[in-house]
Amino acid sequence: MKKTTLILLLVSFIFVPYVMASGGQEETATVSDWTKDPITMKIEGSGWILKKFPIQEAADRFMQDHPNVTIEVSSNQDDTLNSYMLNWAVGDADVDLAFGGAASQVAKLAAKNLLMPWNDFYSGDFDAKNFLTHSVETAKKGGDYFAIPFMEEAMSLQVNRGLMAEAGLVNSDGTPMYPANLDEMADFAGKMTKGSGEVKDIYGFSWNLTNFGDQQMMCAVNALGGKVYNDDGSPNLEAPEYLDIFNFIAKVNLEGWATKGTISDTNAGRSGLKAGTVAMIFEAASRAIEAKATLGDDAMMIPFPGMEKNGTFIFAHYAYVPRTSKVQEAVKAFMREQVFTADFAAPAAEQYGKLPSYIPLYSGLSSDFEQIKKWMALPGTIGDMSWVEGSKLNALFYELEQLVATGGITPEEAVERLATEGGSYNLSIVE
Amino acid sequence: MRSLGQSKKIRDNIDGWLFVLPAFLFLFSFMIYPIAHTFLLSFQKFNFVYDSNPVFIGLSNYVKVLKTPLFITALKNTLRFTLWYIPSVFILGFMIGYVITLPNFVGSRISKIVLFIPMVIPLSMSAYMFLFMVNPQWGLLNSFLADTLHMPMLVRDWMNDTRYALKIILVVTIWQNIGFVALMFMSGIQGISSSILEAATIDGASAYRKMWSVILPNLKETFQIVGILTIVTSVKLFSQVVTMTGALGPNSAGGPANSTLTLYVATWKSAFVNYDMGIGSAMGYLMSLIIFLLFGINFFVTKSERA
Amino acid sequence: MKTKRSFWHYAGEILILLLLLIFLIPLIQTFFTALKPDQEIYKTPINIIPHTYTSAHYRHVFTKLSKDFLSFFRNSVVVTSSSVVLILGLGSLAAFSLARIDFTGKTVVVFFVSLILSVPLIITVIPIFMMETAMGIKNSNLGLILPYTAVYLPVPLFIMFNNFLQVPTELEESAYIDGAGRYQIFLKIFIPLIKGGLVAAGIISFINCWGEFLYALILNTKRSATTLPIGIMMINDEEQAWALGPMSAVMILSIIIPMSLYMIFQKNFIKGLMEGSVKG
Repeated sequence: MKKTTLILLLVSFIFVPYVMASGGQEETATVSDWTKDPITMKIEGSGWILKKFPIQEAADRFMQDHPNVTIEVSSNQDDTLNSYMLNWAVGDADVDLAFGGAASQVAKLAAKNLLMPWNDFYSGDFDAKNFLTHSVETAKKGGDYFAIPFMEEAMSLQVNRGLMAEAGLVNSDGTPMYPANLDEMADFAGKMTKGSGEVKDIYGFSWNLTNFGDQQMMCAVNALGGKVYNDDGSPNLEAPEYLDIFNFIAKVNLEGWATKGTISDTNAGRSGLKAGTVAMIFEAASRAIEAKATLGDDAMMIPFPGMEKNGTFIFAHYAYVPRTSKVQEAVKAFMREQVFTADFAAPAAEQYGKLPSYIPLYSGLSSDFEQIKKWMALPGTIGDMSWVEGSKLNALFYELEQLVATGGITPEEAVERLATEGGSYNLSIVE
Repeated sequence: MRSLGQSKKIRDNIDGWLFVLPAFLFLFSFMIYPIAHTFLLSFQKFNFVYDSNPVFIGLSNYVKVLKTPLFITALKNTLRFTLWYIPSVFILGFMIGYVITLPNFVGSRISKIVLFIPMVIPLSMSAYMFLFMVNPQWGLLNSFLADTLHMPMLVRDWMNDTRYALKIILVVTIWQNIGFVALMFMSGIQGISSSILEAATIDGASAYRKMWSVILPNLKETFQIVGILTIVTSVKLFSQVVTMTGALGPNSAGGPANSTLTLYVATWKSAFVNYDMGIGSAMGYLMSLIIFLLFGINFFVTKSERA
Repeated sequence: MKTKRSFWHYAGEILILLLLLIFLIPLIQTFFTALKPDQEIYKTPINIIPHTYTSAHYRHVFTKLSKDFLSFFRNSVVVTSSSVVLILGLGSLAAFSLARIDFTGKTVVVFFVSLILSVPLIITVIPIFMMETAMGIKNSNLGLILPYTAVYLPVPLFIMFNNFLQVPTELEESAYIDGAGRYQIFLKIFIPLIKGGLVAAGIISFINCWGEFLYALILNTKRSATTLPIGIMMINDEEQAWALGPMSAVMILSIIIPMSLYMIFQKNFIKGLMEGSVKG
C-alpha cells in the first residue's frame, strides 16, 4: 500500500511540469484608451544607446505631458538580441519598446513574427518619405514594417591626423593622405606603428574583429568596386574582393601593425583612437566625432580606399515593439512626440556622431556632417539587408577575421570557408 | 518473535524511504529526469525558437556533431588542456601536500588556510581577477615583466593571443584547485600508517627513498580520487572561459579564434546561442562519453595490485 | 626528541611565507586596486600598494551602480541561503537514513547519488530550461533554488553521511529502549552531535551556490533575478571593460561573504572536508 502511494507520488511529480506547460494563454487585449488610463511603458535599450541618447530625459518629458503614463527605462542584456529571442519566442516579453539592433539582428525576431508592424505610423509628418528610404525599406517583411530606424551610421576610416603627420602621410596643406588601395593602407599602418616588442606603443591600424561584421566587410567590398549583393538581395559571398580584404587583415595583424585588442574588448579600437595609441581605425564614422573630445581637430574621417567613387555603407539601428505589448499606441505617441525630435537626436549627433534617420532633423546639425552626407548621397552607397540568418553570417565573419588575424588560417582558406559555410546559411531576405 | 522482525523491517523501509524521499524527489526531478530527457533530445531535431515540436531523427545529430569543425576544435582544446592540467596539478599538489606533512614543517596551519582561499572564491570571480592582471596595458603581469624584471620582450597581449589564452586559463584553474588537491594528498599521506614510515626510517631510508618507495605506492587510492576530480574539473571548463573571453556576449566566448573553445562552451553555444537543443544534447552526451573514457584510463592507470 | 632549528629551517620557512604571499597576489592586487585612485591604477609601472587611498570606487558602486549591483547581491543572498537551508535539511534527513536505516532499495539511492557527482551539468541544463519555461519560474529566485538544491546535494550529503556513521550505536540503542521515535532520535541526538559536519556541509553548499555560473547564466534571460557571478559580467560590459577601479570594488564586495564565512569557520571547514573526502 505504502509502496504504491510512493510510486504514485513519484509519477505525479514527474508529470507536474507537463501539466503546467499547458497552462493559460495570455490575454492580448490592449488598453482601451492610453491617454487616460494609467499605464506603464517599459523601454529597454543597449547600454551604449542609453548612454548616448537622452532616453530617460525624453521619458521624463513624456511623463510630464501625460501624467497617467509611467515609463521605466532599463538596459538590456546583450547586443545580439539573443535574450529577446529566447524570451519573446515563448511569449514572455515584458518590454514595450526596445532600442537597438541592426537589421540582421532584428530580422530574426521578425522571422518569427514577434514584432508589431509600424505601417500606420508612417503617415502625415512622419510619412515614410521623410525617413532615409533604404533604412525604412530594409525593415520590411511581407508588406509590414517590423521596425523603425532611429539612428544611422556610415562606415569610413577614422584617423588621428597628428600621427599621420608624424609619419609623413599628410599633403602639403596638412590634410591627411587618402590610401588609394589596400596595399597602400597597409603601408600607412606600418609607417605609423611605433614601438618594439609584441605590445606596441602606437598601433597603425585596428580592424574590429568583434563588431561591424558584415557591415565593414561589405563596405570594403563595395568600396573596392565589387558586387556585394546578388539580385535577390542575398550577399554575394564569392566576390573576389574578400580575398584581398582577408589578405589585408592578415598582413597588418601578423606584422604587428594592427592591434588585436578588439578580440576581448570591442571598443579597443575607438578607445585607442581617443587615447592616441591607435592611428587609424575602420569603424562607424561617428567614432571620429566622438574622438574630437580628446584629439580636437586631429580626429578626422577619411574614405576607405575606393569609397569616394563607389560609395559607403550605411546602416541603421532600429526601434521595435513586441506584438504582445499592451501599450502600442502609447509607444507610437512617444516616438512621435519625443524620439523624432531635435531634443532627442541632436545631443547624440553632436557629441557622438549618431545621425538621425528622420530627415527633417538634419537641418539643425553642424557642418561636421557634410563629409558623411556627401558619401551617403553617392550613387554607389549601399545599406544592409535583413537576412533570416544574418547573425550567423556575422558570427562567421568574426571567426574568420580572428583566425586570419592570428595566423590560424590562410586568407585563401578563409575565403573558401566563407563561401561554403556562409553559403549554407539561410540568407534570403526576411519575407 | 517473527512478526516483530517483519514489522520492524516494514517500519524500517517506511522510515528509510520517508527520510530519503524529499531529497530523492529533488534529485530525481532536477537531475535524473533531465539527464534522461537530454538523452532523448539528442536523437531529435529541435530548435527551441524555430521548431514547435521535436522530430525524431535517430543518430544524425551525433553524426553531424562529429563532423563539425567546431566540435573537433573544442575536442582538441579540451584534450590539450587536460593533458597540461592533470600532470601539473598532480605534481604540484603532491609536492605541496608532501612538504606540508613533513614532520618538521611549522607553517602547516597557515599554509592550509592560505591554499584554501581560492576555493572559497567562485571560479568566475577568480577568473576576473586574473583577467585584470593580464591586461596588456594596465595589468600587473606585463608591468612586472617589463619594469621589474626589465624583460619587455616578454610582454604580450595575453588574452587576445591564440598561443596564450588557453594557458592563462590553465593558470587560473590551477590556482583555484591546487588547495583542494594538495589537501587530498595531505590526508592521503597522513592516512599511511605511521608504523610503515617508522620502519622505513629505522631501516635507514633517506627522505627521498621514503617518498618513492613507501608513500607513493600507498597513495594509489588517493591518486584515483584526485584523478576523477581533476578530470571533471578540466573538462568542465566553462565559467572561466566565458568570464575571460565572453565579455562581448555569447558569440565571443571561446577566445581568440576559438582557441579557448572547450566542449562545454561549444555545447552551450549550440543550445543557447543557436537554439539547437538536439545538437546541444548530442554534444553534451559525447562530452560525457569522453569523461567516462578518461575515468576508465584513470582507473587502469591507478589500479594497484593490492600487495 | 627536540629537532634542532637550523638556519636552513628558518630560511625554508621564510621561503614558504613568501610563496604563500605570491600565491595570494591576485587577491591582494584586487583589494588594493579597489582603493587606488584612477591615476595610480592606470600609470605604469604598476605598483601593488597604493600611495594614496580613495573611497571613490566603492562610492561609485553604491551610487551609480547601486540599482544593479544591489539587486544582484540580493538575489545571490536569497538564492544561496534558501538553497543551503534546503540542502542541509533534506540532506541530513537522507544521510541519516542512509547511514542508520536498512531499507530496500538503499543501494539504488546511493547509486543515483554518486552518478550525479560525475555528470557534467550541461547535460541537465536543456530540459531544466524547457521545464522551467513551461512552469513559468524561469527568471526567478525559485527557478534557481530548486536546481541548486538538487545539484549541490550530493557532497554535503556524503559529508553528513560520514559524520553520522561515526556516531556510536549505543547512544541510538539506549534511546530506542527509552521509547524514542526515529525522528526524535534524529533531531535530538544525531543532529547536535554532528555540528562540525553540518557547518562544513553548510559552508561548502554556500560557496558552491554563491558562485554557480551555468544555471544562473541560462535560467536568467532578464536582469530581474540575475545573481552576482553573471551580474558582474554585465556590469563589466556596461562600465566599459577596463574600469578596473569600480570592478575591483565590485569583486571585493562579492567575495566578502564567502571569505568571511571561511575565515570564521576555517578549522571546521578544512576538517570536515578532509573527513568527508576519505570516503573513497
